[in-house]
Amino acid sequence: MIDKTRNNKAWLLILPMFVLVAFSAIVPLMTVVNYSVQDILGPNTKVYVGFEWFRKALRDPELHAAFLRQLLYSCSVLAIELPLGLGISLLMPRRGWAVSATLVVLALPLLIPWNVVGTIWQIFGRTDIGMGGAALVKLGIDYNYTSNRIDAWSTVLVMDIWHWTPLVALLCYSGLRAIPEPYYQAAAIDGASGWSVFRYIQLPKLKNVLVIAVLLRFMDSFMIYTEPFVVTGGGPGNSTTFLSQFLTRLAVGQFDLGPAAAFSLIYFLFILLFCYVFYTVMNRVGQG
Amino acid sequence: MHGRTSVFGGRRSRWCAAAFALTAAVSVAGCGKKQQENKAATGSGSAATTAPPVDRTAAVEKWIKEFQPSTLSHDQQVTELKWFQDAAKPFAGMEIKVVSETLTTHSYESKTLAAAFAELTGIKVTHDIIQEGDVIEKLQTQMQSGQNVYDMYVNDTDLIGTHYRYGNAVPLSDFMTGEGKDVTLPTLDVDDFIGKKFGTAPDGKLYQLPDQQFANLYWFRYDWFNREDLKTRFKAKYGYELGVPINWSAYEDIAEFFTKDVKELDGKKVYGHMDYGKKDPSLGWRFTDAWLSMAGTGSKGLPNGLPVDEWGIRVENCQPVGASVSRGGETNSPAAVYAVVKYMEWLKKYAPPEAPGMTFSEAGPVPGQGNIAQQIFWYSAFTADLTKPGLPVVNADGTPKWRMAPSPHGPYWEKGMKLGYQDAGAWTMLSSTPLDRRKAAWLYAQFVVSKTVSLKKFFVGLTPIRKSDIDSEPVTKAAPNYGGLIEFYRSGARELWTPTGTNVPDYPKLAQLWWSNISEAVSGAMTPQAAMNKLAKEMDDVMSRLERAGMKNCSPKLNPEKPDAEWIGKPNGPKAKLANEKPKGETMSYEKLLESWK
Repeated sequence: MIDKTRNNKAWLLILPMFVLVAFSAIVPLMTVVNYSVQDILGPNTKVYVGFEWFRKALRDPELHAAFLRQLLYSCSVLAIELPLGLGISLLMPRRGWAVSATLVVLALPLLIPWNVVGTIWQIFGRTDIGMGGAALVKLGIDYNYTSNRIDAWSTVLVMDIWHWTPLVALLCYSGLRAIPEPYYQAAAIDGASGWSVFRYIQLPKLKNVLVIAVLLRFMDSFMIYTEPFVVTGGGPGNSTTFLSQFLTRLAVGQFDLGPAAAFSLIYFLFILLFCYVFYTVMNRVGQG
Repeated sequence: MHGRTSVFGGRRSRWCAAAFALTAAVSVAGCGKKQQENKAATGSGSAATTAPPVDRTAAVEKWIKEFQPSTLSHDQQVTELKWFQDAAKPFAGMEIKVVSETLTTHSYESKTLAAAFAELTGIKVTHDIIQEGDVIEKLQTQMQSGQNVYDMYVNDTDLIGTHYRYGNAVPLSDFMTGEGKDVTLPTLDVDDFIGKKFGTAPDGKLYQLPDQQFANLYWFRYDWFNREDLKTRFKAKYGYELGVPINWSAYEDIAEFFTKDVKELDGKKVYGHMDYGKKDPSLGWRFTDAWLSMAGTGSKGLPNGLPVDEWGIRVENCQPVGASVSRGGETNSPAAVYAVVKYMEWLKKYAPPEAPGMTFSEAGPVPGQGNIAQQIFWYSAFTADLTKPGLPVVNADGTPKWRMAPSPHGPYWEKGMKLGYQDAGAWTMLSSTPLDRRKAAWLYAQFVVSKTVSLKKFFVGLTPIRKSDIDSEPVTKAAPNYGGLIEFYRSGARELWTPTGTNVPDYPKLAQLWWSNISEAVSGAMTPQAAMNKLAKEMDDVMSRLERAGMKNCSPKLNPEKPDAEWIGKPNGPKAKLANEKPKGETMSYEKLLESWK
């Protein structure tokens, strides 16, 4: 056996990255933890309150409602955008100039800044000057997203579908293009139907891409802020108030750092938990 | 959201400073000679390295031409500007940063007056213009971190109770006679400021010096109100003359008349009311800017009701003791609930259908489109925008088709109470700003409100701050173009329009509670009574936290809760519900109103 000399100087190589992570993640996170156990009203006006803010947050009915609303929203987004995006990707052309044209058209909504997306839909949905809202009213539909909860929800959801389904479609399209041609040739020799090709070749091969799509869309929709804030402001009432808006009002509007810190930690832990569960389940499914 | 400063801003700025210092150290060897040459040429500090030498004597004459008209003579203007030049000598070359909200007045300061000040004094000013909410956020960042973000703030005097209680703001009265005596303009004439008392705390000291001021008044289409056909129809239906409404009953009748009866004028759909209702922080201003006091919530007293103010907060010996009726406050009292009910009812029945989805800034220009007959809650800061030639509400000769008048009052209102909102954006200095920067910023603050500049500034932004300007000859000549603004400011009536007062111990934390709760009532998710109960409880919760933490001055000390019946209807307690909340409508002709103001 050859004796290897241990050289701990190698640790120095990761020191810059450790310092970077410490300043960009660990120190801010610990600061938030520090804030979460205090009532901070000024540099010299701080009171240690233990877990008071966590207890209040977990018992706050408005927060519970916002959480359920958020969960429902994210599930709706996934339930619609994934099949729709997958369907669009299957219909997309595979060669010729149409490929570039389709990719550009699909990418357009993704290039628009989020607050502009919100503004577009805020105006589009208005019944006096908006094409969408006015058209619905002309059709005899009693639509008004500023005062009707269901209309507000539908508008925010349709806006998200318009904005983000192209991302799912593009991801799936890249996955489909990566499937080697011999798979399709073998299926043709076996006389496989279109459904069989989708079920036994395309879908299994898209598994990893779909996992990424689900994760991205879940995390994004679970943290959504700008678009609904611009369109509805969270209203009417609290009907489109999601967790991020709740947090922003506390942290930025009221500058209430203690309760906001406790709430953001709960929020963070939930997303962490979801990602862990999802990743583990998908791994097991993959192994199975 | 808008560009926010991190709560770690102070630490971050030190890192930036270190990085900047390193860069500067590397480059200084090459630039050193040039810098020395520039310094020698101008006799000033580091700013001179980038700016060409300036003839400061010529600059005085140059800028006096810009600052016309003025209530001062040419020689007096020269004397005042030369005083600024002398007082600024120790700070020449310094770069200071100040901030204010987005208003025409502040844009003029930022673009023109800051440049003038730099040219005159050598102090370079960065005058940032950002949204009002963001100004508060920056202020909060500095207050909570103790790190200097801006050298001075133009911050509404709504925060006077906050500044006084936290003790973070420098009392300007002390500063002017103490450490800032050498940089205080001898001709500042603080008593000339019409909003002086708005920036004065319960200790009698001035904490905030007004920079711009506007009121929240009643706005109506003077031309329509004088149409004989409409006057006849109105009188036939309601039994009294169509005119400026004195009470809410008349306002409601006029709103109904235009929206339901008149419906169209000159082929255009018209509405008898305009407002906004989108869930947004600006919905909170709609209420905290004195709406409840117009209905009659609160006690008598000017500038704000005592012991109970228009937010419904009760104060005893300058200590807030509660907002809920159960603690002696009025936030969820019958008068407050009535105010919310009427706001919702009018918005839904008489305003354009898109109004409930609008914010303050979206709703503001709507009366200018020419289809609104009246608006009970209209900010006079929009005067300049609504007098632009070519608008449907402006005559061919440039005079407005509309007028502003005192707001009508609700049935709970009594003589001796405030009747509306008047805001003074005011210069505020925080103790966490280093003294030399405070002094330089104070010089700039005084410059933009000095008599040399203020009348010109008034004509740019129409936000008067000085009595001498309002009474001046140029203003008299221009008065017909401003739809009653000058008449209002010259009358004693303006004393009834005041900002949020000293009862509110932490404006940013408490103001945020309003819009989220009111929007629940607007959507129908809660009754107005339930929404106001929740709001009052949340306000009490915040005040109990302030009590626990302790504030420097007049900390809240909540009353124990008692059954509402023990407070309601008692002297200085919340008012009991009126049996008749809609007395007969009363109106007055605009001409008579002007007479009564003289």
